[in-house]
Amino acid sequence: MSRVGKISVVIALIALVGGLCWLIYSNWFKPTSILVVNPLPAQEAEIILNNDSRNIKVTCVSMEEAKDFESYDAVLMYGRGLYLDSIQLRSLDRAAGKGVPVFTNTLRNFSFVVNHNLDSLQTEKLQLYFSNPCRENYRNMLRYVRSISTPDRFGDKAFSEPIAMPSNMYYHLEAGKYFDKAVQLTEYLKKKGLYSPTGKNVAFVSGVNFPVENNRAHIDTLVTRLTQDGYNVYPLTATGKARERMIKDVMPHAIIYLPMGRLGNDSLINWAYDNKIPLFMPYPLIQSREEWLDVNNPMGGGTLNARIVVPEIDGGMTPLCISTQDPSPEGYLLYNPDRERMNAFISQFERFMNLREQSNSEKKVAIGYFKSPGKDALLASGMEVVPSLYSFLKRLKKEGYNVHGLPATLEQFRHQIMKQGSVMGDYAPAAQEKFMDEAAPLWINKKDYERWAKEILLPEKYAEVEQRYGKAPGSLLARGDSIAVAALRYGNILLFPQPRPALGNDDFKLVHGVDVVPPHSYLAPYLFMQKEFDADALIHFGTHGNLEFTPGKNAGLSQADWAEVLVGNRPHFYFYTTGNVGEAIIAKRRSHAVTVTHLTPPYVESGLRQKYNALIENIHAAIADPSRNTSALKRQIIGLGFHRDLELDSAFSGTYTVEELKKIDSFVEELANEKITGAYYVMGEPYSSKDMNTSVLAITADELAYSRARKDYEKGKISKESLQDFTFVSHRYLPDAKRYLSGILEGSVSSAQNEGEKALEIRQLLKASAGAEIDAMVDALNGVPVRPAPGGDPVLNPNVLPMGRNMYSINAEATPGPQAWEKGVALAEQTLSEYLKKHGEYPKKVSYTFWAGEFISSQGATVAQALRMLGVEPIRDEQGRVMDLKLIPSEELGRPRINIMVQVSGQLRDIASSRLKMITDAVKLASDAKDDVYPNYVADGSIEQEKALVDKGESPKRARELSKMRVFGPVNSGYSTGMLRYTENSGEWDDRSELADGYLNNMCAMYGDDENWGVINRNVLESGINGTDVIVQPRQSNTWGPISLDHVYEFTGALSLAAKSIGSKTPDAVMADYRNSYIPRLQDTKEAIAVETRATILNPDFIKERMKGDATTAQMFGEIFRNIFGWSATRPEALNDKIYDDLYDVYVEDIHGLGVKDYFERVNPAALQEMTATMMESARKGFWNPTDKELSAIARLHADVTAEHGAPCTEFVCGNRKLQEYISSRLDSKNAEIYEKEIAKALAETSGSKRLKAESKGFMSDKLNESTADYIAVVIVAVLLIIVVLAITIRRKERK
Amino acid sequence: MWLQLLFFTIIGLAAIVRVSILPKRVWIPIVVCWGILAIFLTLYMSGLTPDEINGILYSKTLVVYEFIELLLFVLIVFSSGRVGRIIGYYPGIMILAPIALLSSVASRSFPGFDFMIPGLLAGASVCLVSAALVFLCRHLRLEKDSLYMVSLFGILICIIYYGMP
Repeated sequence: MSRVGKISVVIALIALVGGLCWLIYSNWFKPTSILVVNPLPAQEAEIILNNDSRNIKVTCVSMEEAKDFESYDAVLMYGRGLYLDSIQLRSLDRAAGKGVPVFTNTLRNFSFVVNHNLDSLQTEKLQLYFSNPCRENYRNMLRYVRSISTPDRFGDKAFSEPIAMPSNMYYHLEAGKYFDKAVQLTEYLKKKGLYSPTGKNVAFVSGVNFPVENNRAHIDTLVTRLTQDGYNVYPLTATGKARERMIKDVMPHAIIYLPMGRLGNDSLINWAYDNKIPLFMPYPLIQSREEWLDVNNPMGGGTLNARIVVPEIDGGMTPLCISTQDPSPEGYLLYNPDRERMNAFISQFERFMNLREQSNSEKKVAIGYFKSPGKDALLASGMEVVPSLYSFLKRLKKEGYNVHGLPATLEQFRHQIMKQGSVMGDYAPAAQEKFMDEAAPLWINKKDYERWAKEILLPEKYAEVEQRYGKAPGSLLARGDSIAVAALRYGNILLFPQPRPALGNDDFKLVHGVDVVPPHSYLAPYLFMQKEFDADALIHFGTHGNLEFTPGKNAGLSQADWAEVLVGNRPHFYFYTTGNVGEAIIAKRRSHAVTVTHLTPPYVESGLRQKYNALIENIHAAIADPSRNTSALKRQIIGLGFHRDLELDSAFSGTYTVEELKKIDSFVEELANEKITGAYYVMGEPYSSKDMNTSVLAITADELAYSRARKDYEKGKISKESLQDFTFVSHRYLPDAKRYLSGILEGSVSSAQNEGEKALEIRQLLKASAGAEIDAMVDALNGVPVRPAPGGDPVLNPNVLPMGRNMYSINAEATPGPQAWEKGVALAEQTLSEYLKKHGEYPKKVSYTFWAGEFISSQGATVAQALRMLGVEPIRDEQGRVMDLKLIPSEELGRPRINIMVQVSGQLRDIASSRLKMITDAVKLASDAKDDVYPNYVADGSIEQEKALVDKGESPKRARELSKMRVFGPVNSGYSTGMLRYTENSGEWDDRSELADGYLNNMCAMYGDDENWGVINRNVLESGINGTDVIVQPRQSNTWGPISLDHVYEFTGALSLAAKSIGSKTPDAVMADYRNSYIPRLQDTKEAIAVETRATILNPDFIKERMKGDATTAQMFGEIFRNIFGWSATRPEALNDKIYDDLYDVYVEDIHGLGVKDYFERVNPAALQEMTATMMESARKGFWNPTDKELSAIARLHADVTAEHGAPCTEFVCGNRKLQEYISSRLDSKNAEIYEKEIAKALAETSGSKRLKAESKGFMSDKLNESTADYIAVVIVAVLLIIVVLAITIRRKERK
Repeated sequence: MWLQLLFFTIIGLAAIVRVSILPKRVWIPIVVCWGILAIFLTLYMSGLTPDEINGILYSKTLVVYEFIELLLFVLIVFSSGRVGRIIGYYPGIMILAPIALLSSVASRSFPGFDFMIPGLLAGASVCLVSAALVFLCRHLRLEKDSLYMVSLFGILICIIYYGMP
């Protein structure tokens, strides 16, 4: 045989032997390979961890990754949500054909169930293993599968039968130990020496079924730590009634629940609160640590809902993330408790529990309140702070707290807190010096401060503070090596104002938002509170502060987040107005606050019904009978100035048309019915009986009126149009309803058909509410949990009563609900019909403002409007959650699809991130709609946006991707547009375009999808705003209006200004008014401002009511003036031309003889200084053209108050050198000198005005920089080469 | 700007002349390849920003590469024998630059359309225009000396362009 032949034979033999070996191995020795499809990460980890056999190899894959089923010996599938495509199914069939056992674990009737090569007994056994997940069952299941799939393979195939796990059980750390009854677990704990006879019982509900064994490091850690600290922990897993029974059997002193939805139904929750059992709800996240800490990866969707939103309904406290799920070295996911967060939770839990043990005399309570810089009043929305705070402190004293040194009278207390508890602005260094010399602040030594910072803060966070503000003690309220902290100490009570969260230039930069790092002066009081004072509880007093609005994660904060770390592990309580649920939710989620609601100011009579009754009658008569429509009527209307508010003609001759009269009628009717609030609420003081009645009427009269109108409609007495006509119903039914209910409340009328019952009930609840918040807070400080309740305006939702409760939000996943959808559709179509009527064509783009409070109160009707505009509607599952979207066919829609743009507050972004993504999906759907019979402005808008972005330097692909982005919000996870500070620091800007620039830079973060979440791109925002035809602002509360709430001009005004600045026209601005829950309607913003102006700030009755209030109420006037200024700066078209003249008449000339000046000088001179300063600044800016006489009068008033009471040191006045000079220029020399002296006392030399800096970070292109040397070298080489070539050429030619 | 356009024109002209002196069985596939490249370049360019495109197309490095290619064309003109046969098949690759410029314009010219559409249009345009120009050159019986003159001129443009700030 040749050599080649021999080699071939050898090779063949080797191959044969190898093949035989492989055959033997694969048939008899190879480990059984089991494929597990679609397990949850926890299940995957459990299965793999419990595989203790070398002869079994387990591979876990997701359903998308599943393939090559035939290459495995057995296939096990989790049926929940399982779907396999046709390729996978064919592979599965091949596997089945080969005899591979396939099993699908089903708990319910899933549509996909595939079992192959298993008989019924085998199927049943496998189901038992799966249904009773525990260590032993996982282990034995794998062995069992090996035994049936590869019975001929060598190696251990022994297995045990499935262990039936109780579906409801108590357990503990030891695996395999389960108990049916609490007493059994108690015996077990005693036997193990883990039971503390004096210890408190804790029912620990860890979730449903799993994790029970393995992969539960977070549970074991909690149980171990609490047991070590002396608690008797009863971990249990159960559902429904069994859970309720088992919890009650424990007789717990506290319940810890790792939430997945509600703890139980109302009977369990009520039982817990009735027995004063607090509910703690920390949670693990099925996310990696990296994802958890990523600020641009907000918690949303089902996770937010199940872990936080729904547990809030039960009043769960401490929503802390205590564990993440991270890959082990082997690659499967395990729960990974975060040590710091676990410590934080345990500390908060134990401190709260300790509140009921500690005597009140020993308890230390820190109370943070809010105040503007300077001499302005303490602030809280709707609450008179100083008297409320004093009432609360007196109550604490009565309860046995050590409040030593509390002044005997309110006036003394007020004086003390204004002197010692002030907030300083960095623009007033002289005032700071004075404060440090005279106000007896707390002095914190740099050494102590740095030591505390080191103990509490992450090193990198403190490094950020030092980088921005230098080493401690910083520049504000610093002297030598110490920081001065404004504080008052009464025994064991510490009062401190929340300092300024940023300083100096940080306020004015127009770069892409300021990632606010608080200065040393901000950290100091909180660190002191934790480390030196060692508070047992922290209370924030009133709505609202700024700590919870420092940028960072929306929920599940960590030690890296200021809101969480500065509050520390103290039980945190927050007095909060019920009218502001949107921002309350942020405080709950970002600083683990327990909110305690308090009443809004009472609703009072505006007095306008009487004033305009005759006019209304005349108008109605004129509408009904043209002969009564006279020019005298027109002159009367013009004389009242309504023509300016409604943009009607002002000629005295002629008459108004019927349409115009109807418009005026609607306006006047609204004025007459406008709900206004009186003097701010003082805690503990019930409304006066008059205010009580008017408040009850505000809450109940509308409902009765509409109920009667509906009955008449059902009887055919009125048409559907009339039923839906706000003016008609108000005029026809509301006065009678009010009269009737007034009679009920006075006792002169008895309730017929239960119509008056509700009014009596509401009155009872309002009475019970006064002081309820103090009671609830006192109880909370004793470790009694605060009951949950919805939040919102009591007029719209009386269920918020009584007060003293902990607010909760809504399930964003279920929005928009069916009713909200109906409202949203109605408003969207009304927006279009109004625009069509006004302009003769449909708008091409509508811009929306979304706020959290309105979203919650309207149950997502705001989102519904946007969807309807696009021509998209939601698809809901059986549980009412919005799972998907679908296009409304063009023919059904009956109009073009309208393009939208949405600006959101940070609060809304945090609570409804999934809705923002849904809107983006809707835009994509609408944009890609084919075969529309009407124009598709959404598609057109996307193309325009794409073109604009390409022109601005985006790549076409990226521009295409961004062309569908329509949702924008504050940058760097911030919460506001920044416009309030920019606008009101009016000395720092000269041109409105600077404000627009600030807005565009601060609001250009996209919040549309995961890939671009939080990504900043100003060009996209500009192209999104460009072409806006209408801006829609939601309005869902009677407690605020467009001039009483700054955020309205902040969003609507700023957006309007931004649109104009980029070359677009000034869009229409309307308010989507949901305040009347029966007839939501649209109202022009200018009209809304006019109504509120006439009903409040220019209404003598309103002013008189408010003048019954104290300093905080007085401060409100200054705020309204500043808001009017804000409108002038951003959208002057929204204001009546004469508004400043009217304000001058009322507040400077005091034409109504109300004694305005005396009032302000008595309660809050700084407010009057603010008001006069605002008028002067408006004149200086050219927003108002007063006469010289008027200017001098205002300047004189301002200067007189300043001379009498000193410079107010509020930011608007003392931070604006140009304004001060302007005021000075309007005074005579003597008064000017006095004025300037007073101002100089507060200020140091200014460094001139700081211009708003636009740090533009445009796109920088990379250009190659060739050095000169390279250039010369290349040229020389080139020339040489040419010479060579030429030489060659010539030489060749010569040869030829 | 005009110098940039002249530069790209020279690149294109040189490549067309170069290819026109190749046999039919060679230049036709080359032109088709150019068209296919135009499609892919369009898709690629759609993912680049103007600054990135500028960085590629208006860089001095490109000038250097074109300079080298033109020298190679000169070498093709004067070389013979085995070396001449080998480098004789070099068609020129710098034609990619003007194709890339065309592709970048195409990718931005059809907002809202699938990027494949401008790609196909660019590809077809490149193919047809190139083929037409090659036909013209062959009709004019342009030979190696024409290539030589174009290359020399191009070299001069490169030197001037490189020296411009």
